[in-house]
Amino acid sequence: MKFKTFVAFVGPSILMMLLFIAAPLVSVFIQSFHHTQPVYETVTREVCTPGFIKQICQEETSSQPVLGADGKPLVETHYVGLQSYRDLLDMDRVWQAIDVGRWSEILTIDFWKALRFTLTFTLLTLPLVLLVGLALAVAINNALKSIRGPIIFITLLPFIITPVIGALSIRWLFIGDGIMTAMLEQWLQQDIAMFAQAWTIELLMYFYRVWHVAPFAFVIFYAGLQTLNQDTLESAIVDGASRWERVRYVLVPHLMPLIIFVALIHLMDCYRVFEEIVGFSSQAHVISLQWLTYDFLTPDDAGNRSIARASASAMLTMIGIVLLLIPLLRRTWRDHKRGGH
Amino acid sequence: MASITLSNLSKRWGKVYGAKDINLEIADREFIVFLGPSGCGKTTTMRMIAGLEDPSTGEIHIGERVVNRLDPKDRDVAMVFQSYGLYPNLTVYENIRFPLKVRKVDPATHDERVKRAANMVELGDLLERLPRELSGGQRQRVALARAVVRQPTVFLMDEPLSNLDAKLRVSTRAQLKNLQHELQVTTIYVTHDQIEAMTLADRVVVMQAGEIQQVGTPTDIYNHPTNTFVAGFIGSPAMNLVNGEIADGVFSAPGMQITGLASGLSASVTLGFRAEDAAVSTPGPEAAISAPVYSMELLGDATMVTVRVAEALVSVKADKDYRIGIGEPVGFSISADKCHLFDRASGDKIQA
Repeated sequence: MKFKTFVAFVGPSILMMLLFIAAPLVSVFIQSFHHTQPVYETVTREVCTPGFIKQICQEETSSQPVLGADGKPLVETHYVGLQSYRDLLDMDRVWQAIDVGRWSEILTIDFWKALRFTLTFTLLTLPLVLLVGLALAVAINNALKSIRGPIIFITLLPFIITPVIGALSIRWLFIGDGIMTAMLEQWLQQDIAMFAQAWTIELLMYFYRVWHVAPFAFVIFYAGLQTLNQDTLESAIVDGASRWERVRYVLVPHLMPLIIFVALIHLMDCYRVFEEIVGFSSQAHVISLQWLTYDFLTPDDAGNRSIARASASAMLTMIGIVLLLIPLLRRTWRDHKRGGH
Repeated sequence: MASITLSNLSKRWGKVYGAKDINLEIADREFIVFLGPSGCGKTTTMRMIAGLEDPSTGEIHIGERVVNRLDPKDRDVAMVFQSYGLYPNLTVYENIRFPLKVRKVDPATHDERVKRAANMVELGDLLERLPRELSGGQRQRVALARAVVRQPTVFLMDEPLSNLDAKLRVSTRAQLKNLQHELQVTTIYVTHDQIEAMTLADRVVVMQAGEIQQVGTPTDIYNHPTNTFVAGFIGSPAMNLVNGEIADGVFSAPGMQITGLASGLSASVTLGFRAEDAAVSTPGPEAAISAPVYSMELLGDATMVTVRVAEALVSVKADKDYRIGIGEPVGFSISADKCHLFDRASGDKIQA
């Protein structure tokens, strides 16, 4: 292709990426090292109250925001280095907790609490999504041709539902007097409160995410199965491989590039878990890194947003994703270098 | 080692027959070839023997056992596929070892057996390669080694040479024939290539539209085809077939007359003769056929002259130095005793 044509095609896309991805990223990166706050000044003045013979005067000092010419408080930004990261990680408390041996105390710090959940959530749902997706794909691939279409459609439904709506509906099913809770209570003859403790909420979140994402994995794997060499599969049958051995030696190796693809997408999506926290209103028990960032950005009572800390939190989230992806990317790169098909 | 018996074997999808009422005895250690055009049911029949397809009716015996209800792995057969069916993520060594591994054969014997099988098909120095690093012929040899390695009682081969180029096909064919001779294993080989069938088979089973047309040795089906389908399918070029009438031992068709055939028959027939059973002669009333040349083809070892008789093209092999121009008149002489007569309506051979 001529260079000019290439630029004409790729240019707009690169421009958009620079504008909407790279620039904000750089901006967040810079902001995480700076601190912005209103400028306060200390004012000393004499306050006098009427008294007998002579009024009583006192000197009072108070700090107040400096107002600019337009009447709005002045703000100033200064470089603070890694201070925001230090605030966020709160390593002093972490070491202290480790010294004393009370590990659980680490999880009272917001960042570590969020990291704990985000990691468990990501690493627990990943194998489940892959397994459920693969099982669905194999089962439907073996189903009668005439019923495959409708089954595929039904299987895909959870994926189509808007995430927040999906999370909300699960929440309402299991909330205090929800249908499912009522049923379970009747069945088990005991009170159940799914939203009163962290672990039940987490269970519901795992369940919801797997239910929501497995259809995506299914559709990718199902497409992959259509290109499976039938001769290879039948060779394995005649060679004496059991059903499980056929999956292990023929199906999975064939689907490996797709499995890695789904895993990559899932890791990236899951590490940014957010909808579940909002949908399940779980912030009192369980929070995620993405939600933490959001929380920093929400104005506090005084109307201030902790942009610096939010930026630091966002940067740490990104670093986390990159760390998680490295093994998979390395594998893909190795396969690529060995020369694909 | 095992013989195979197919009795009343049929495969039906709705109203369509994939294979219809197949009856066949295959002797122990025999090399048998199923031959026929695409869709004739040869592959379906083999897949039923392998257990990859369930028969609609009928029985399959391998040795003393009825295997209808057995899984493929329990039938003790090995199969070689047209597109090799190798495991792309395993090395050649692991590919060949696979049947031993999944059948839980004593691991101590694996290495020796894999190497012996690999040497048999001359793959000894490629064991660490992946299938994608091999040529087509090498891949097919891996598939062969994988079939050989566990010493099955029956080999099934589904057009194993079809994906190879012409030259490789010839050498692999010879290798295959030699391998079967060495191993002495009952082999069923499916192909649409009649040369493969003629060169490899102890007996050939010619099939069409799901039914067996003729079973016989290659010589047998070449010299004595039982119907026009077999006559027209076997041989290169295929047998010349001309529609005409016979009366008092004389066959006549527009532009063609052969005398001295069996008398006592008068009917509409199809007359067949092979290109090498006729000769070029001078055109005139003595010649069986006298017509302008339609085409002349040089085959190297012979020159083939073709003329048009009614709707049919009739070819005759002449001496390799024979030359004639298209459109020039030519005569063919055909001896009556080399001619085959078929009923025109049914296509079946008329016994003299």
